Amino acid sequence: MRNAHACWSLLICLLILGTATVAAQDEGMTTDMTVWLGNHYTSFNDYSHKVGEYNVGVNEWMPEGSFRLLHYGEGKLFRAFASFYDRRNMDGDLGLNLGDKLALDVTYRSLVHRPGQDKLANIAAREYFGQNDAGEDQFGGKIATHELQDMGVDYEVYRKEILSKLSLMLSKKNNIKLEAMHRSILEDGNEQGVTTSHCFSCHLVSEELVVENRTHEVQAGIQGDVSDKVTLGYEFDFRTFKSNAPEATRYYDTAKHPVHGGAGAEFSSRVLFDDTNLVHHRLPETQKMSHKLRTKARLGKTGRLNASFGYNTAENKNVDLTTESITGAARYTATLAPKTRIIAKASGARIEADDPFINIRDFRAGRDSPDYIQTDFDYTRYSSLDRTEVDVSAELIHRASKGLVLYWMNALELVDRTDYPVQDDGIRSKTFITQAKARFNKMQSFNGSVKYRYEKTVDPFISGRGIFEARGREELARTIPAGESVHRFIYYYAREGLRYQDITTDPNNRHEVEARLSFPTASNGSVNLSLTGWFQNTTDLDSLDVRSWQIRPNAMINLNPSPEWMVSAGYTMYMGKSRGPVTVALFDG
Amino acid sequence: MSSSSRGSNRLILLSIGLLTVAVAAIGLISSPAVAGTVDNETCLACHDDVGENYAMTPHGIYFQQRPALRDYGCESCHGSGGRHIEDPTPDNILNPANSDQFGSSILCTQCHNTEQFDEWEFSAHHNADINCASCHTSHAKVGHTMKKPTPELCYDCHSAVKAEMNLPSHHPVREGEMSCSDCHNPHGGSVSLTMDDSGRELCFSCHAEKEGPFVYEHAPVSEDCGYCHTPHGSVANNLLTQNEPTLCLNCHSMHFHATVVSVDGEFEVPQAPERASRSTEDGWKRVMLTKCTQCHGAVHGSDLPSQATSTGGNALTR
Amino acid sequence: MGVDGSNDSLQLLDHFGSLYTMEDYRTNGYQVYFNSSWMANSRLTLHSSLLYNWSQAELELVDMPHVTEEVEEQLHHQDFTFEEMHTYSDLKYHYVNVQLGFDYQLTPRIAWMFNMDYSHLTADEEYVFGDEDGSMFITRTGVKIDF
Repeated sequence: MRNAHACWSLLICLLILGTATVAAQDEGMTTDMTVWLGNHYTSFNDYSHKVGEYNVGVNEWMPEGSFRLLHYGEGKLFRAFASFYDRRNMDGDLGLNLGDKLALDVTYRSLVHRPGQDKLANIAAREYFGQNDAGEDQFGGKIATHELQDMGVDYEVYRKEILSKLSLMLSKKNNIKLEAMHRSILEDGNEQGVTTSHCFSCHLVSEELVVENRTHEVQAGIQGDVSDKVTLGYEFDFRTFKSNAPEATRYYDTAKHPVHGGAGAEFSSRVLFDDTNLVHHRLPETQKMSHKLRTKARLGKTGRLNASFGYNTAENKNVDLTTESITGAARYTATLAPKTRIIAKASGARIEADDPFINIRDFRAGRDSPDYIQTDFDYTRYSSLDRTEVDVSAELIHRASKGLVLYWMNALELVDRTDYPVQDDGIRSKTFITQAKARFNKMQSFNGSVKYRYEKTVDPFISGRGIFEARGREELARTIPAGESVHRFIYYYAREGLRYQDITTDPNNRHEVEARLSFPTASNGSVNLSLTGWFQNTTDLDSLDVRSWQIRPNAMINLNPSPEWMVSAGYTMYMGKSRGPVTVALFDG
Repeated sequence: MSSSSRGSNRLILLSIGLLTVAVAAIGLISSPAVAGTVDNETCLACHDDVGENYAMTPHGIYFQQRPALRDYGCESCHGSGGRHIEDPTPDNILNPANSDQFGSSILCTQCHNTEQFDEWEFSAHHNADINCASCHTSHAKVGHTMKKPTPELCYDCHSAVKAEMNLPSHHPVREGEMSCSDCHNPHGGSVSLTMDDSGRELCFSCHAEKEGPFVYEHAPVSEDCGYCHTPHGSVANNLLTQNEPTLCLNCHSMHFHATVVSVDGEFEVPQAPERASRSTEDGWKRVMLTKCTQCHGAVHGSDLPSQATSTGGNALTR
Repeated sequence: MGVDGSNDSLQLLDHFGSLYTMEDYRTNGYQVYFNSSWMANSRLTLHSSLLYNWSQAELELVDMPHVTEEVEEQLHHQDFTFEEMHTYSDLKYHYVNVQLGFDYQLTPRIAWMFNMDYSHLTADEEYVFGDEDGSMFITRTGVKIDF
């Protein structure tokens, strides 16, 4: 709150200072100023966050006001805007342009977001076995309960953003320009935190967590013309994220048999921690940095080439994890003939992420009965971020006649997930895209377009978890070395080894259509009609028979029945169906 | 007449002749009446609606600073007006509002050539022959050069997006807290109309806490936010494409605990009687099949291991 | 105990793989809107707008295939029907927003503005997110001065 007031005060000071400074200067300037002074009253009835998710309101009159100033002339422009709706909904903007020498812009905005609260009211269940011979209910051991420590808490996050941009011409001779940007996003408030405790019962606790997120970003760059056709630029970006919220801790129950409370060690060995206080809901402190070289060049009479090369790092400072990436992109366009253009694009990225070693408590450690098998679960977590991505595309655009333009685009997208933990050799997805479009423009009578796009993917993305499990005992038996005994139970962990990890629910065919028509009506009005839709399914043997479609017709009419009267109306409909799996393991653990 | 006086007369005639030629030459150089060229005053004599605010338009102010262009600002954008003066039909004057992608639309970018227009020639708007005049009006006063405020201006063409923005879950564009240009660069960007190198990067520029890297990952987060979210609006909360648990079940098997039959009535927790609660017969189904993120809240990734050994700590519950 | 054997004293020994069905999730909705601006005279302009949005998302009845006798025998106290499950994902909303207002030009530089904004949301499927019904009414008035 103090920060918000400080920001607002700073903004007002800058505004007054700027206004006074500029207004005191030469006389050949024009000043436009608008002031709004008003008030508003917000009334909530049977209030829910949904209807006022982004509106802050209190059941009382609130003064509001805004101020807009433009002071310009002789190649200079000073702009100031400030708006006060209430103390947590304010906007401000200060801008200064001195011809093409200097452009400075500082904006501030704030809002409150009130997400709906999850009451956990559905978390209450205990297993029921039926009745015994005496007619009494027999209860089982599986139990889920919840506990609200945040009853009645109104969750909300107050978000403030300050953005400053500067462009400074260092030399007009080669258009050498310095660009800088700073952005801060400050989020304060509270949110619901839910912790889950396994063994001896599935017990969820909902509590209020403090939100104090800080994102700061700085960007700086320089660019200049190295010849009359080539511009070179360098850009540096640095972003940090940190949560200043106090760490929330919770006591995780002692693991015991759910019903009789015995076999503590047995149950304790099935969880990574119990009977302890631990931090939960910790957002890591992260730091992101990127260096980018950019160039744009005029090639020939109509050719234009834009290219960039970047090196980026993202670091999680809490756990010392780093992701590195190298990116490159090039785009070229030229007019091949007076009525034909080509746009060619290519981009690539190589991302490499650290693979941490995960040390897991041994399952059944300390259990010495011959029936029990002690298992070591330590593993290296390979990152799903590791990948090489390559996209290439080419589009031809041809004006067939004055009122008809034809488009044809082909693209190929490759994603090679090298370290992906699902399959030994990773997943290499290849997507071929073709798209055709025609655009009509009959000037006075109508204009419109039709588009068709087809995407074919070979080896789509696969979720690492594996949706299906094989029949347990037979499958697991194959993995047991000769001479060793097979334990009697299929434990939860063993089910991980039963998952088919090569089945995907991602579609490998996608068809997209889009049609638009717009025509004028009498009295200077217009009618816009559009229809968009897509259908996707799979023909891949490794994919589930998923299919989905969506159709979205849309109509909009703008009318001006008289110079004094403007009317617009619209209707949009959307229908969609998505067919996907509902899966459950046949198992009682 | 003496020979000396004849000589003097010749000299005077020569001088007058030279002077006339010189004056004519100077006049030709400086005269606005050079064939095909007309000054602002001539244009505004007919286009008085433009002239009303011309001096207060960004272009008017700019040209005012440049003596060479001061009187010929109109022709700087509209080209030579000579033929139009002779035959004032629209066909006889260059109109940037009618420009298309085959060459003529780069007229504006000859001056407006800062980096924000670097990608214009690759942009979807440009390819659709949307030109500068489709959204901007160049004859309006400073501060009024957009034809409409956003998002209404964008919705005029992207009306289906307007419908999405009115769905129960949406980014706060309808409330005026965001604008389309917070995510989209109408002058062109690397990916479709977006500003950054990938869709993920764009989302993380505001939602940085979800980027990581994390010890425990959720693979779709590494792929594309669009696996689970739709940016403009959705029926389900948090811009999810489908509601939970349906969305999660697309890739995950449900908990087998959902098959457990529950007590219909009150029950006590044997080890913690204070947690006495009330269940229904389908209680376990309700617990396990309503909202997966009640327990798996760290769905974008986490550094903290989850409790159950069976998943290697990677259940994203804390 | 053999690999495929069962132990009568432990009834629940086995794991029979996965049971699954393919089900449809539907998203439907429509939206109508109307905006009007009428300059009644040189001083008075009236504005009005109406937005109505209906949206629904639902999972169809989950119809799992029957389990085999072997499974039925060993997991007999479990229930593999999910007849109620589809309701846990269902959502249905009606949203209406009405705005009425006017601008009255008191002098060429001063305008009085008044606006009323009423929103109401009805959630017919409140199992998932609780009772989300509610309405909001905002009245705004003030003067705009051009200098």
